[in-house]
Amino acid sequence: MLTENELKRYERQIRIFGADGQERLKNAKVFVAGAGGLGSAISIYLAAAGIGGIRIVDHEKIELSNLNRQILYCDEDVGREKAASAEEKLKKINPDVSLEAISETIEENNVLELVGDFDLIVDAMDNFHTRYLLNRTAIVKNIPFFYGAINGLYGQATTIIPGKTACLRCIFPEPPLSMTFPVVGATCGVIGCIQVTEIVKYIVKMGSSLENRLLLWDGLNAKIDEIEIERNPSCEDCGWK
Amino acid sequence: MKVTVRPFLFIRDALGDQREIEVKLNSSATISDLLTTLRREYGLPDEIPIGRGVFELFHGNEVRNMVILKDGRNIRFLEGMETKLEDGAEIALFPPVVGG
Repeated sequence: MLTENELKRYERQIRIFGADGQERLKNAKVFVAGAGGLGSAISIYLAAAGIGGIRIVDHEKIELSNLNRQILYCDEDVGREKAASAEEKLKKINPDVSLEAISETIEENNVLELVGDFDLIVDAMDNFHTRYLLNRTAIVKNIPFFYGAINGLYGQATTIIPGKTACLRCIFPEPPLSMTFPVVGATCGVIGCIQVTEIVKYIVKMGSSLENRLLLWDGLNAKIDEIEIERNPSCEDCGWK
Repeated sequence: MKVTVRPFLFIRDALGDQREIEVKLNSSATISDLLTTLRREYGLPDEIPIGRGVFELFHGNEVRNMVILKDGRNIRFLEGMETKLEDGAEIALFPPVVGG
């Protein structure tokens, strides 16, 4: 049941989802992989929307050069662990949400435990090695995986439902060459907000999602496109599903 | 035969901001033939300048940073550069995006 305070706090979105939808959000547990540029936008909007359980994992410390895009942090946070600072900020944004920030590196040997019994995974990583781990974990646990990535003024996102849609490996069979990427902070906001919109719709069961569609954001020319994608039946990650 | 090429993001810009390009090829053409035609006749470059950096699409004849889908499937799961094309096939070209 929603409390009086919650009914008031979420009044504007209850007009869209109904109290029933808001309760679904309250009962949902979302695993956020990364507390950088995407992770900042994602976790702020998840907390503000009233997602009941949020676990955010990042092992890094805050650097001055993070602050153009990692809007969870401010000047005085430089040098602190992202996890501790993120937890503090998000609890201030919404004290009703159960929040857990963990300062660890997501790896093969801990990913299953870190994701635990969470309902879905949202990707806020900056490398494909970890994205592949998360993709496989989502398939093994049969939970959705919300992919997002950015570079400069460009971004991409898709929603992966194991057994139903193309997975990350179907789209990107091999990791792209790694490179230091430039970022305009607002690009993280655009893609992170698209990922959160997808998550909220998935939880409240509304609308249609980016299943089997890769959304491409071209901020330089202010254009959005989409590409239809298909599952690969012989995919090494999801082919068995 | 004719195939439709759909370039995205800065690959589209490099091809003159065209959403779709119809390319005529001989009936036994492959992805490799299509890329050769795009490079020779449509100006698909080896590198694209992005801000103060450069995004490399080709290193010699090797594709570097470009995802190629034929009718929604990554060609790596088909026959790679030797994937055969059919009349009406749709080829999407886009750069992978990595950062977060």
